[in-house]
Amino acid sequence: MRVVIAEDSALLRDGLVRLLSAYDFTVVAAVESGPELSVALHEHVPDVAVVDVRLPPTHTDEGLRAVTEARRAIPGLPVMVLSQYVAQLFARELLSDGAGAVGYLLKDRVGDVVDFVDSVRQVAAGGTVMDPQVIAKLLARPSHARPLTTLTPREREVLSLMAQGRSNISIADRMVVTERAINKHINSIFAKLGLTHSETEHRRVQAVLTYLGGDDV
Amino acid sequence: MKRWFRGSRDVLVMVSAGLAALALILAALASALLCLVGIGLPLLDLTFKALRRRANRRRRRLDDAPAPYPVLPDSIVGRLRAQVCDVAIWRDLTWALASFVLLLPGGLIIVYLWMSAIAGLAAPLLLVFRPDGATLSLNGQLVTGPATAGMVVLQALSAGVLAFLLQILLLSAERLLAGYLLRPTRRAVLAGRLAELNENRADALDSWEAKLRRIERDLHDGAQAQLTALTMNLGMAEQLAGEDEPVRRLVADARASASTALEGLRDIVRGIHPPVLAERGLSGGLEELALAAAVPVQLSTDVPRSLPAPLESALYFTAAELITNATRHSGCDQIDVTVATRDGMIRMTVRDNGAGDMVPRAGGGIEGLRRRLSALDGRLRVDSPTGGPTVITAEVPCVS
Repeated sequence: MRVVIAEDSALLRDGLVRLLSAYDFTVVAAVESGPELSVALHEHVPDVAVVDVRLPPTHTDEGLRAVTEARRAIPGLPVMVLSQYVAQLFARELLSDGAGAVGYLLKDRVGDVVDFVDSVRQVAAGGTVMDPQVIAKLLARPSHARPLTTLTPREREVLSLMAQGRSNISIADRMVVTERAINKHINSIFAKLGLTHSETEHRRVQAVLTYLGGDDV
Repeated sequence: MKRWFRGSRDVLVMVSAGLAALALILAALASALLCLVGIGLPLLDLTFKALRRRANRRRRRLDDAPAPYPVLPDSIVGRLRAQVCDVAIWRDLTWALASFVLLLPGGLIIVYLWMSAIAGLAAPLLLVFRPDGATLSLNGQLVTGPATAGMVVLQALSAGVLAFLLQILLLSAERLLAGYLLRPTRRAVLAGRLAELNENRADALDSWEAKLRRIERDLHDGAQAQLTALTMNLGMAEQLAGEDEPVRRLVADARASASTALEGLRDIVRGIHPPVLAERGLSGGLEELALAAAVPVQLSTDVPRSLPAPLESALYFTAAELITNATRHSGCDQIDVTVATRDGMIRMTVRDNGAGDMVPRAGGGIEGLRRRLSALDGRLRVDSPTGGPTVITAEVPCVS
């Protein structure tokens, strides 16, 4: 799997290269600034990009902007955005094109190596992975997404774990139930959200997007 | 003797000063009149310049009193307007007029007295050396013999004493006058001091804000990056530990500690200078607050693109505090935040549809916001009738 990495701290950039290489990713470019990232994304069109929000030269949201622009040119280009903190605003912007294939995680989640690598793979496969902190804040919003109010608490929990990019097996583990029970919940969620007529992976993305988007997307 | 010399020189200087003052006043009058036909403007400008120079020279001898003039623009008309509208040049003119009235006649009288004193003291000599048959008349007196000569000398002496006293009187009167008219007025001194303090305060706030932003940057690039790298390495070590359960658990614990430390740093950074504010400015910061709030927040903001950093932070933290307050205490289910700029004022209103009756506690959040805004000459108005709605408005002047 070909990956582009953008991170301005040499320490972290090297760490990411080492980590992803160890898990059979091919790092085609590891850059340290916004303009370089734009060039690399257009040149390599990687299977997935792992990008720090804050990059030189402005040290503001340079990385996020480079990614958003690239996704405008290459719709659905998979990106995993990392940051020292998560902002709902950035999560919404990443989700707003409705194309999926986005991840947004706190940088220290990288330490959970297996989960992180799994998340990157999910994103590369078109999935959506949002940091638990983003999801917690979304959950605190009472008004968000009307269709979701019909979900049972159990179904909401399943959907929340789906939004974190977890597989059915991992969700089953976490909730201490069988995978079959999880499948049942998921089918019920799809039905309640009106996602009946497309392939499973796409429905999964749509369900998560509905869940994350609230009224805003 | 030396003092006497200096005194006499001072008198001559005074007479010429009186003449110069007269010239300046006449020039001012003439050019003011000529202004009616247009060509007087440059003349008046030159006259004012000469007047300022003269007054400044006097100020220097007046224990270095500072010049009280306003900042003068480059264009002649602007310069004249600035001066005519300010009190300083009028006081200079008054000084010129008064010194003319005082010094020219006063100085001439003293000169006259000195001359008659010298002439009178010369009476005995002139009496001895006069040509035969000539009559000697000094200071309006016929000097015929030693008796009249003695009389004249006596008169001369008293004229000298009078001149000396008058001279002292005139010099101190002039000093009083100059001191009164040429030193900056108390009002001007206070206004200057106030402007200086305002500038100092703005500088202090700017550097405070810059320092906070730098701390945020340094933490981001330093401690936070290193801790993140540490978690990453520990994560990889955890994988390498494989089946070795005790080692794996130890490394996992270490990684959890590093994560906790990072979370702590994140909280600190949020408190001093929230990253969204750093990355997206006030409008981004407010959007984030609205998205992260537990109650729907309707934003209607028109934020100027470049606001001074302290103002941006103050408004952000005001909005954050007010939204939190409304969410926690008012029982509302809708909050509206509006930001608008008008007449050099940026106005932020946070309105909730809760129960109202909000009373700011002493030492509470509202009071803290008031203090923070007042450092920017801003204020906070709270309107919270029983039954709601609560409308809180922050107003801060902004130059943009």
